[in-house]
Amino acid sequence: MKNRLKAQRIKKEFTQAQLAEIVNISRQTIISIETNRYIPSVLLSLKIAKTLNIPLEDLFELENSD
Amino acid sequence: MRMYANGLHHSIIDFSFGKCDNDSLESHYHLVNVIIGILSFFSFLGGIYFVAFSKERHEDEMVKQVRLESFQFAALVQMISIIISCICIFIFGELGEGALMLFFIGEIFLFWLCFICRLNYILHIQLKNEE
Repeated sequence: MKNRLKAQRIKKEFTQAQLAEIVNISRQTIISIETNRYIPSVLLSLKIAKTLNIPLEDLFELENSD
Repeated sequence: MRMYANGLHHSIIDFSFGKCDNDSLESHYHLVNVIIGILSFFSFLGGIYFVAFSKERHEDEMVKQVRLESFQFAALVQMISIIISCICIFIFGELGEGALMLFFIGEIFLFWLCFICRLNYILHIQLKNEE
């Protein structure tokens, strides 16, 4: 699964710490998601998308291998 | 504890060592050792539970997943250890009662120690990558 969290976060001018605080998770989790080491749950994905004010499809995208 | 010929215990703990004969003194020491051993075991196990189930500063879903994976890892290590140990016991001969007890106690500790070590290692690695 491809994710564009880092690009979208920078575009919306959020820092990792700010986003983590709003979504109520740790900064480590944000880093793990951005580096593709952790796939978030649907609930967390929706929360992040809502915070960044973008549709979920703009954050995560299925790859052919998925 | 005083032991009588009919095997009945006269009192729970009697610290008058000077009055005991050798057999009762030995059984007295044995009882004290067993009580200390049991207390140590459960105290240590209680301490391990506190360490294992203490929450992280940010207990989010990723930490919960790492916790779950650590449980699986610890269970796997314990199972492999039990299988290997059983094969060794089968090949090299039977264990005495005390050694068998130590083996089972070791297996209980092995599970929790593996769990704690893996959980903290993964969280430490993530923290290191963050810096």
